[in-house]
Amino acid sequence: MRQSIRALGWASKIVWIATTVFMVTSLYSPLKLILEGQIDIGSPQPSFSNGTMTVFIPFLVNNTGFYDISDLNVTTSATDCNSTLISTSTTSVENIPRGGNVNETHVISVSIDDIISKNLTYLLSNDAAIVLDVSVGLKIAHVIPLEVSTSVNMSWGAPFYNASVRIADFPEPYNSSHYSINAWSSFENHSPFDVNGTLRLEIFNEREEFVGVWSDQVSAPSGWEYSEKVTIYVKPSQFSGTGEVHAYFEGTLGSVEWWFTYGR
Amino acid sequence: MADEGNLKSVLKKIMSNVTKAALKGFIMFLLTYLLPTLVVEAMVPSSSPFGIPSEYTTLLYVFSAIVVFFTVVTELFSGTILQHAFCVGRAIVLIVYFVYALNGGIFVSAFQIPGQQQVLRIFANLRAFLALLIFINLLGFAKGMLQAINFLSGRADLK
Repeated sequence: MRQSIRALGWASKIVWIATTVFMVTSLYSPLKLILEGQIDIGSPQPSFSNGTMTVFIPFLVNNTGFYDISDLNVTTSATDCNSTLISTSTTSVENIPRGGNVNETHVISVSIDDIISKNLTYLLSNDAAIVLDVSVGLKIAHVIPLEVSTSVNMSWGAPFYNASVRIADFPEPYNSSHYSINAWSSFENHSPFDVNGTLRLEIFNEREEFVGVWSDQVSAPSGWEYSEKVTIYVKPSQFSGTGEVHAYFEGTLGSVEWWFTYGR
Repeated sequence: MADEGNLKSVLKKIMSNVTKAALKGFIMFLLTYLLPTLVVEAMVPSSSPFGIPSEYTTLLYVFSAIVVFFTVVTELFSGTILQHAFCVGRAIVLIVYFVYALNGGIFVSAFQIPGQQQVLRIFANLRAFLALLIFINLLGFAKGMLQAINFLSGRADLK
């Protein structure tokens, strides 16, 4: 009996010490990386191509901790003020051995098609506040799951901020068969990307009959305001002074369209 | 004369137990409260936001109090059945304490990043640790029970 009691006592002491040491070192291990600045997050690099906005965020993790870091997942979710999900992306690193390091890039991409399909087209013509939820999950020593998360408020600059088309109330005679109408098309590019492409304005009357069209190349670098006075030729019999303008843009941002009313 | 001698030996034993209890209690206080606090202070700079959250400082204090209390009473009642009863009691109290302190194995904390508005949330699944801590205390529980049985069987043999 005494031998068993003694064995239990020693077993208890040994497991106590081992658990305490493991607990302290495993919890201190990720903290050590933060305190020593072994996690480096680079500055985001935005780019735009084929109607998709992509932000590359490089990060480096140098594991100077006491244990391996496994199942590292970096997840970002961008939502608008109505909590509608704009984009979510995840970067995974299977294992960072003790003493090793990893250099990865987290990619956040948002396509114009996604924005349109999620009924978020207001983001194209209105600046907005976007909440970016960042979550980093990992396993310490392959057994302790740890998750760190935060929310960052970001401002979204609309590429077609305050987009508008105004049509002059009174057309002027152009020739025997057509009138000319002056129209003003404008928008401000608040996005970090250049807006280049073709803008097409189609005028319809109140009976939804096609009246006239104008089309031209537009170029609005980031931070610039686009404003253009255009002349559209219409048939007097079709132009009634009221109706809708269909604005259609196709270019670096993909295909975007708006409807404006005039004369009301 | 014999009564005086008996009283003297009892007083001597009580004094010895009290001294031992005070000494062991002090050592346990150093090991369970002062040492962890000093280790955390040494590991984490005071300017860093990653110190022990205030609610966990209180829990550490409670842990220290439990350990010191049971160490002292176990030593005070050394040589009696109560010593083993307190050993078993300590194991049960510590199991309950760990389940409560580790929130069933889920650690959740949030703090504001200095100089910024963002709040950093930390979630850790410490169920593996909790299982180990419960296992250790079950070992202590079994040890206490065996010691109690051994003590009682020893007393029965003497009769």
